[in-house]
Amino acid sequence: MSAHRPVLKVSGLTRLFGPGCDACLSSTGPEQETNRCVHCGTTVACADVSFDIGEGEVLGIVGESGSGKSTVAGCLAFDVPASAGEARLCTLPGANMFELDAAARRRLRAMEIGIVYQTPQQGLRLDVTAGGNVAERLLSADWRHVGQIRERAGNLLERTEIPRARMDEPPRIFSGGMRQRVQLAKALAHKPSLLILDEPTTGLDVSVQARILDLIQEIQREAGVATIVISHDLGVIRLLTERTLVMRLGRVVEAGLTDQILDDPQHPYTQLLVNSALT
Amino acid sequence: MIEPHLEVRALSKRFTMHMLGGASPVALDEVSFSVKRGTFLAIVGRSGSGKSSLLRCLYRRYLPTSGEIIYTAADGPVDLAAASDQEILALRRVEIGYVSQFLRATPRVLAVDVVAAPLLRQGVGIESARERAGEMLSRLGLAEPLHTALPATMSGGEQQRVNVARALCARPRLLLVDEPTSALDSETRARAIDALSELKDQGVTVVGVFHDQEAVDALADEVLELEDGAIVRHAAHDPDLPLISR
Ligand SMILES: Nc1ncnc2c1ncn2[C@@H]1O[C@H](COP(=O)(O)OP(=O)(O)O)[C@@H](O)[C@H]1O
Ligand SMILES: [Mg+2]
Ligand SMILES: [Zn+2]
Repeated sequence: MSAHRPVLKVSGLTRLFGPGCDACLSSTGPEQETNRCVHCGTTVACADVSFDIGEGEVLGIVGESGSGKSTVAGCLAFDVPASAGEARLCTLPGANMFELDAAARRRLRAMEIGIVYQTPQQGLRLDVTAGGNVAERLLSADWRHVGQIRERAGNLLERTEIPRARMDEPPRIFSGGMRQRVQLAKALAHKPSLLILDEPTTGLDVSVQARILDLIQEIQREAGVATIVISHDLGVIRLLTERTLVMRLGRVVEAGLTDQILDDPQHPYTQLLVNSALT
Repeated sequence: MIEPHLEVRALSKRFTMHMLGGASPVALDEVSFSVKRGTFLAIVGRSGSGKSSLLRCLYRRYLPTSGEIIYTAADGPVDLAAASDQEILALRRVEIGYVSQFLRATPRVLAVDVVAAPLLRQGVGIESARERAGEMLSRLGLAEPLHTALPATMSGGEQQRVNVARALCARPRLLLVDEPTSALDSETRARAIDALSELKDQGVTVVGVFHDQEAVDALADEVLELEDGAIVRHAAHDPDLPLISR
């Protein structure tokens, strides 16, 4: 069997919002039917999440709103600190990402991790030009030559189907679909080793969604970067991923091959999810 | 003696349907058989007898409930029922192909690229992947202008040719096919049978669900008949026997 070389290995990732107590984990989760600790009021946004992703692999995380998907993404992008757990990136052998100091985190985030957020406000500065948004990312990854930065930004925007002629316009005047494509250009700017797409098409019109999903697939075929796709939409997961985690109330309830999860779901919650998607 | 390429031991598949009060219908009940390398095995049986479930367990689209599926891969035996998801994906990439009844096409990808995609994942260069894809599409009788059309705009039969072409082009060592010819007209069916039979000549092991006598007569070395999730017959193909015995 060919050896599977993980690009990212996450184990026991946990994030609490609140003071936390000894009973937080045992009093929350799918069996308890809540993610809020009755003893101390803490929200267990995600707990004991473990997975790995190989080179060129696309892993899906699916689950209803509030199940903890974005918290997992946020921890990996250092937007929120993890309360417990480990994440190891192959480009930083031996180190737990979550234990790095602030400077090393900023550096890792700039050099290795690209993310597209559900809302463009999170990922873009809407009043800075599209080209400027991409350039900012290149600057933080030590690109210095202005001409090269502009050339790369223009190419990336073109690749994500934003005409070069519009690179000096701010995303504020762009449509929802265009804003997501600027986010994608920015996320890909410095060739990240990990790409995170958090609900990249949620809230967009169906035809706009289809165009972005196609684009993501094309880029995936070309670049083959290890990717996490987060969505509440099984259609998106089916299209983009080969393996999937199903989350509910902060926990992973099922993990498997995407076609197996969809055709032969095991957990009661996954069965409900798949069945309600069909009807 | 030829080693078995695939050896299925006491394979069972039950579905636990939590929404139906935990009802647990049995699709396969301790099924055991083996397939020698290069054998074309036709799975037959009435609708609901477990044919597709068996095929899907072999591809791991279904998770077997118990039993073993020992597959002899290029670098040694592996139990497909217990292998990790990543091991299964690696095998699907290079060794094990699957053709469903219908193509699930992605909207903006051209037919030739749909067919070439598995080759690219195997590391074949884009030019030669496209060339091989085009040749296979032509062999299956898809007119050249359609090679660069979107499958979503094609008829069911044309889409199915793209589907079959994709699996054949990847040159798997084990090919699983679920009624690959049922959506095809008789001329195209003959072409598909032809392509499958060439694969067989190349020593590919094929396990396939078939309904039509014509395909089974042309292709099958052995026939395995299922009834209520159990094997009622596994024998060399005899064209004088009906496909379903009872
Ligand atoms: N900053 C925060 N403060 C308090 N609770 C939060 C915060 N962010 C997320 N949560 C809670 O954590 C849980 C998981 O949220 P989230 O990760 O956003 O889920 P998803 O992305 O799956 O919709 C929810 O109960 C949410 O209300
Ligand atoms: Mg979210
Ligand atoms: Zn608590």
